[in-house]
Amino acid sequence: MTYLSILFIIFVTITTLFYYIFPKRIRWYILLIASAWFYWCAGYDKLLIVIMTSLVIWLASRAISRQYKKAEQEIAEQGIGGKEKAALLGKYKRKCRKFILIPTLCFLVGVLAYCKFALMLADVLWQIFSLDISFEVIVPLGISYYTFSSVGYLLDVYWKKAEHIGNYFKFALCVLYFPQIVQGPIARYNRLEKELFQEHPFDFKQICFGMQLMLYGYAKKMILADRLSLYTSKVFGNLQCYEGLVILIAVIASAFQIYMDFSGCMDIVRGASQIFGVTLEHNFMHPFFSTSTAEFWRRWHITLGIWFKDYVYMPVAVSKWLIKLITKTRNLFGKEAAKVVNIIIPLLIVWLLTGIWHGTGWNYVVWGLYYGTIIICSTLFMGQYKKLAKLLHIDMTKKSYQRFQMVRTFLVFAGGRLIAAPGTLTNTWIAIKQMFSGFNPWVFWDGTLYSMGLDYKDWCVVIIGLLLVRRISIFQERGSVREAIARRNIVLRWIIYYAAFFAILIFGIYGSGYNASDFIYGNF
Amino acid sequence: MREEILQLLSKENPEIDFTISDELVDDGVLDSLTIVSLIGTLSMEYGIDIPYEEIVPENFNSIDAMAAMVERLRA
Amino acid sequence: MKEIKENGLKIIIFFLVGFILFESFSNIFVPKRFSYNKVYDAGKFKGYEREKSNDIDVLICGTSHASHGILPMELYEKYGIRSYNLGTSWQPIEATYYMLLEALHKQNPKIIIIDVSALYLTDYNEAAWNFVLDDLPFGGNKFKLEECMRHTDQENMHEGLIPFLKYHDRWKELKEEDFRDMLHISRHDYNKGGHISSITVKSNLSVEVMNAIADELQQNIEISEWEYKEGKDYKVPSKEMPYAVDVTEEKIEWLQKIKELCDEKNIQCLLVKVPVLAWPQLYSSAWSEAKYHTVKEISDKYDIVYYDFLYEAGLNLDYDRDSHDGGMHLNLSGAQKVSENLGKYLKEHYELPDERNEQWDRDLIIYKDVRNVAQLQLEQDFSKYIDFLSNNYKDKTILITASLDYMGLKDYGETLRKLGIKADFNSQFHDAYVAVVEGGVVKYEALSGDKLSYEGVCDISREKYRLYSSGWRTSAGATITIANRELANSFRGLNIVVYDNRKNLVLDSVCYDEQNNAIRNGDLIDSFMEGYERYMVEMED
Repeated sequence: MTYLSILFIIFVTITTLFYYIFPKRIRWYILLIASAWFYWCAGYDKLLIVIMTSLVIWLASRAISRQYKKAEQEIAEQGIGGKEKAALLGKYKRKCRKFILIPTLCFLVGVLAYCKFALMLADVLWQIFSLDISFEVIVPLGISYYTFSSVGYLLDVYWKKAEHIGNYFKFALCVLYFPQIVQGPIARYNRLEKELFQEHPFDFKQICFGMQLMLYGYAKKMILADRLSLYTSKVFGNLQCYEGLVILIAVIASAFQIYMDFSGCMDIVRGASQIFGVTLEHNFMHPFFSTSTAEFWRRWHITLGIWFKDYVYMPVAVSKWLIKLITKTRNLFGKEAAKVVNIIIPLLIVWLLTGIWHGTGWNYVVWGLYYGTIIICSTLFMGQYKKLAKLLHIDMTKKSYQRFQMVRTFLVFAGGRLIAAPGTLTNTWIAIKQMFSGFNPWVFWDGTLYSMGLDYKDWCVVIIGLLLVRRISIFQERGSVREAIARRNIVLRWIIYYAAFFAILIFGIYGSGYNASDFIYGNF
Repeated sequence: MREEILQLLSKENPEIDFTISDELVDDGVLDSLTIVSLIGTLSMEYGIDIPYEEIVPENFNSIDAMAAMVERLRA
Repeated sequence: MKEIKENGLKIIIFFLVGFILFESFSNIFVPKRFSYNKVYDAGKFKGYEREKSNDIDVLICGTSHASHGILPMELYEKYGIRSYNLGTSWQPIEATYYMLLEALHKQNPKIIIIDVSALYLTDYNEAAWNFVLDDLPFGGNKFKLEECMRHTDQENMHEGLIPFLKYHDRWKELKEEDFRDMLHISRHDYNKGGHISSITVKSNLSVEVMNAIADELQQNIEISEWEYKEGKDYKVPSKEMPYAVDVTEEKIEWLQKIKELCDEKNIQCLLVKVPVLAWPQLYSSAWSEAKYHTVKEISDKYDIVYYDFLYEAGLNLDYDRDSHDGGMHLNLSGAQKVSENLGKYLKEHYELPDERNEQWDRDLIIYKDVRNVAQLQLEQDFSKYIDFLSNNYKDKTILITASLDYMGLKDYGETLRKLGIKADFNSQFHDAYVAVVEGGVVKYEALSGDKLSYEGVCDISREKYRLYSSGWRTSAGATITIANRELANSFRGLNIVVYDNRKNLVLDSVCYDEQNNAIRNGDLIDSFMEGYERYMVEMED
């Protein structure tokens, strides 16, 4: 079952009914059953894998927390303090690390890597060694997301930043919770725990707000994202046939498309979760208002960025080996060089991994390095950049400069799309070649643009839709839009809700597609 | 100790005023990039290992907190 | 829970209003198929629903051949038989079955007539299913028909039940009529599903040739090119086509289902075949004698009465006059012949009382009015045409322009006297002529060697008209416009435009050339007819 089906709506409705019928204390059981059923629909074998995985994690985190308790006990019994205490804690920590943490992490990451790369590896083996291994890889739903959440949770327990969740079923719900399982947001289980297992009273306003958010998400996805994909899929599916502005527009359209798609999906799941009173983390905060690529990645796929920051960037940046490396560099090449190494290495590792997480092809590696390079450069050369601006008498605080920055950031993102969207590096190269092979502004008026999946009226819907989303986003930056609507009179509110609902039904891209020629001729 | 650290860090990051608040991390005065460079500086200068558990806002929210942490780790 | 009670009323009203909006949007988006958009023979069931209960004795089902070929009002006029024509284009036999199930809710017919074209309908045409599906009321039969239609595409099943979802893409092509007809999803049909076609297209085929080609195809003889074959005096086309005379088991099963339904409800089932003249290698609907025999066997085997209009009825169809597309579908003239024959057959073989009632009589009046106009548009012979005008159309406006030729049109002058025209065409040569006859009186006429122009305003409707005529010597041309719409057909011959002042509708535009041939523009005639029918239906509402 996907989020974009009538079945899902029915599913959420029924779950909500049961949720609020049952007493507050056991409401989370309903969520657990619903989530398990949701996952079951994806395949019972996949459900089995997830359950086993979650069991492994839970046992590991319980083992770690028990070790730490033992350590506390010993300290209390022996009454030691200071350096001895640190040493004892260190011993237990190392024990956990060696026997629990590392194996479990290897297991988790191993499963993820297997699911992602096994087939690719088989391909490579076939190509190089003509080894024909045919097998099927069962990829559990949302494995990239729940693996990261679990890894984060386990590390948090290890670092004593979070408590082990005692009740296995509660833990299972954290893993399986259906709004987040398919596309995130990547959860912090100790925060999610608070949300899920709090007693949620029936709050009519929250339920309405949740539904409204879902409506907005569906609108973004079905009216804008799916519509843009008609154009982009045509262009990217046949790059050789197009050139110049057609490709450029496809790249830009692809940038908007993926935003509408992903953020729309996030709105749907956050809205659905809100109906149950459970608040999920934001994954998007109007990224196209960013003034720098670094800021962009703090507003785009926020939970992923935070995950990488907390579990890769910081640990690497403060790890012993890196500090040693920096010290050596400082001794050999001076402080500036050391600073440079300090900046480059953690960022490089983070972005390499980010690229790999997003996709299995080489193009995603390049994609990750692309962003890594840009962010590294912008950090390293920040000082020089400011000097240049001063030289050119550019006032960085002015609004027009900020607009320039937003456009610049968007173009950087579009560049990223150019690397990722065509599917392979070869295609990206073709796209770049074709894009610069001619300048053809006449496509705007000679009809070419209107015969590639989107006609003139479709483009109007796209433009109006994008402007509308932009306006709503500006409002959202200032405050809650749903609150603002709620304050208005009932007629206006209802008009907005009906308008949104029917806009989705009318302009949404779905269904078997009515063939405008309801025309029959001849024969019978 | 406090003065030492304040001088050291201010030299490395002249544009940041470390005395402006007691919640440097929570108020956003220090972002993760800056904290990383602070950690690098402190580690190198005082020859200490800052374990990951110590990297919490409480330890970096003020110069005093940082000083206390360094003292603790040196011991 | 208190919150629910507080907001309960709001919630209910919200959903209620939402539902009403949903239905309204649905009405806007569903394609309007009804009597006056009858280009496609669709939307019959919506009109059928508006009939009074137990008011219909005969149901007619089938494809467009039946839809065009049988006129219920002809049956009523002569024989007092009340029937309804539920034929639609490419109607699949499954659709016929489920439509009949629905149709029998409100009516109790004595006879159900099925045109057997559907037995040979093998291609899948989605629109054809929709023509029936979209009109059926929400319920079990609609669902089952939807299932039949989508035996492979399960994913979009709900679309058939919720037409709004199927047609939401029509937002791009919504027209004024979609909004205007929002509340009028169904209208009472004075024609009872009949289709009046007032266009004639001659056929270049004859029944004998059609059967000859069919026989050759059946023997799978390879035909290589267009050529005259030895011993035959017709050219045989080169396309080779597997020619099917057999009816598939599946279709026969559905036929049996329909027969069972009829038996269950004590209704007589009658199979018929409206004549279809077409090239067998191009059209699987071509009705060859071989097919007739095949169906005869089937009907004998399953004990169903079968009456074939082409090979049994002894009709005198003239395919140069009786068809609007060269033999495949009949026009008014052909349909009248078939209906007349059917009426006689029904009277002879079934117990059908002559039942007249007020509503049907009123519909008959409208039908006759429309038929009159259609017959005007069908008239080919000049003398008869002018007779018709002078007898039935005295109160209308007749506009005439011509480029005259001494040799050809001089004879017309005498006939035109019947309208009061005084011009003597004998006296001029390749010259210009305009005339306006309104309300039986010649308001203006002029004959000249130079170009002629005349402008005026129609009585009652106050529409402006403009006439222009120029002879060959002065660069030939002829124009008749009413309200800036160009209506003349040709500048070579006598153009006549007939206009109804009261209704503000153009009724006919014909050009008679020098050989007494009537030239009409099919699209224009269609638009006249459509406008007239729409007017009659709307006026009635």
